[in-house]
Amino acid sequence: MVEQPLLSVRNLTLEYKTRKGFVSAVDDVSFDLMPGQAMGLVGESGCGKTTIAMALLRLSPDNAVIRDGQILLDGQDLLCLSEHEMRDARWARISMVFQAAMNSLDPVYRVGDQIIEALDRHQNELSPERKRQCVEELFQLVGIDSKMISRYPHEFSGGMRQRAVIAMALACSPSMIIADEPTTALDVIVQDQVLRELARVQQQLHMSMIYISHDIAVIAEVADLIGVMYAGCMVEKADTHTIFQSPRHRYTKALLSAFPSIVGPKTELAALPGDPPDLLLPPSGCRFHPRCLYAVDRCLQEKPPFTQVDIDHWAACWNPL
Amino acid sequence: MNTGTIPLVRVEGLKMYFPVSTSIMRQAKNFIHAVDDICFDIPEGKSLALVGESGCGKTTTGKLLTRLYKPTAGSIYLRDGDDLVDLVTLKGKSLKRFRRRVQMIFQDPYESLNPRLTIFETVAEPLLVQHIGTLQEREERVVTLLEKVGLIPAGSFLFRYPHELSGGQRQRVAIARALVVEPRFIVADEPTSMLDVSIRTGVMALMTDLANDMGLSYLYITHDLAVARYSSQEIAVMYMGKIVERGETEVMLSNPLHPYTKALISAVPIPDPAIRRQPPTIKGGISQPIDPLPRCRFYERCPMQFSACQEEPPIIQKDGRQVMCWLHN
Repeated sequence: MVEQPLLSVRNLTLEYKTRKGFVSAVDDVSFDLMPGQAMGLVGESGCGKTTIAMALLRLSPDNAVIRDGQILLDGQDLLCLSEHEMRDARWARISMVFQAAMNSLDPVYRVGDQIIEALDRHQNELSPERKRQCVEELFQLVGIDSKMISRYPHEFSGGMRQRAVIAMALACSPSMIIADEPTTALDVIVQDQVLRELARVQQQLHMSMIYISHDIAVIAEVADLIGVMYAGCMVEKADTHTIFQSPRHRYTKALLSAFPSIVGPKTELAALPGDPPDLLLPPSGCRFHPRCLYAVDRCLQEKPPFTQVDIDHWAACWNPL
Repeated sequence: MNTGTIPLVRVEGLKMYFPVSTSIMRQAKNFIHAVDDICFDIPEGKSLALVGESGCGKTTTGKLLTRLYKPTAGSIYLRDGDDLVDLVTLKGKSLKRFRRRVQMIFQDPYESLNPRLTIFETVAEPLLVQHIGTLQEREERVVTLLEKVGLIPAGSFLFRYPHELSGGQRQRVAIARALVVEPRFIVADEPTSMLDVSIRTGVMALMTDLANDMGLSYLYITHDLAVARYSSQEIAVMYMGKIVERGETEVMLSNPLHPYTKALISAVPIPDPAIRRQPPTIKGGISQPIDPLPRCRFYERCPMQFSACQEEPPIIQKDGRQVMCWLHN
């Protein structure tokens, strides 16, 4: 029997309504995620990574308009759920570690109590003692001393707060977790610890994970497969090794050549000309064409379809590598 | 004296202690040793990257070198012809004149540009403050510089406001503003950390080109070793107010001597899934150096500690490198 994807995003198209018009933030994005898989979503600021994450949890801001698409979690379209049903699914089936999560803890409540709050909502049948035990287990899982349960957020260091937020996301044993730049505000040594912890927990619990980052080095270390985003479109998707060894989309290649590394020979870094486009008026055809050194006439006129270029390797480019 | 041996910048025994007040009514008894007795030279036309984790004192060092802080102790010499002038002793007019020669580029181009000033006003402001040139001369200079930093055609940028520019363009304006008084030395505090990868590379390349063309030196403050590798000939690693290791960039990255440098290098993610990194051997984060004990600052976290580490390690110089660790004594 073929394994069914846990999460299947189909043709997701989302716009933000602003005073100046509609901003095309996510344009026709599709991808599948298998149980236990970790997918990296990489791209620059404003490319739609966080917008997708928020849409998956149905937490998009009020001015977001979903034009088209489906978000199938275990075959059930999250976009068709009522708000009440969605509230049951959120945290219990799909949860999220937010950007700058270190500041997303409430300073006036004990950290343990904030995690118990999630359990109160979703697993209220448990006794108070059992809930506390759950939190202790979660703390152990992410590597925090269980004595810290009754402490306040300001008594935690940045890295520990981040772990606590991860513990909170895991509280109701979701099958899917979204991590949105969870280590961006941390120093390298602490970042390394949090990344290892997250990867270990994800494998141990056999969860699916979407890891969002602008840092391709971090993505290279945590993800099994990578989706590269540019200006609201997914431009390439393949397993991690393929993306790094043989990228087909010109933007992916440019992104890799612009990224500095401390290992290996010091190669020349190639800068990309121009700036990312204004999504109020996205460029015609391929959205990357104004910055692409290999654009052909067709790139200006027609939007390249997201097609399979190899086994499990998808790209949207008229003039691929 | 041979001019070749006079460095552009020489820092000696530089200290900056901040008082920790427990109450506004009480005199502070404890001090954060933010920068504690550091020494280094920056040769003419070369750049030094100052790396370390947040709170290690790298930004404080930058602010001392631009004299935005007055140091607790120590000297900061800047080359003036064949002489070295101590900036710490400067006051009033001579301090203002010195600011022509040392400028700063800040981290966040969204915060560091005045939203009410046009690009022309922003870049020309240092000239106005220093009473340089007539209006026409100032305009010519601003136009030349905007073109030099890649804002072309300059005419179309002159009368725009910061909010009309992208992050990369704003940082280019900030670079132009720093260069307009023709400084010799620039303190760049995380100038690319707010920028996206595709933009960052362009700004880094621009800064390198400008250094080569105009003979500039940078003190390049960054938390990112990969950025340091591409921006500077030398790296100095800071830990709790001390420079624990300094050396030529490639040599240091391939053969770090100090256990902290080793840990820092092994924690950097590698953009190549084929390479599996060994995890760093140290745990935890940096703490605040409030009245630290007179021993190695890295003692608690060091995997190699031994009895000698209870005393403050000497600065050991060998093969053009500097390391502050008993292991290499």
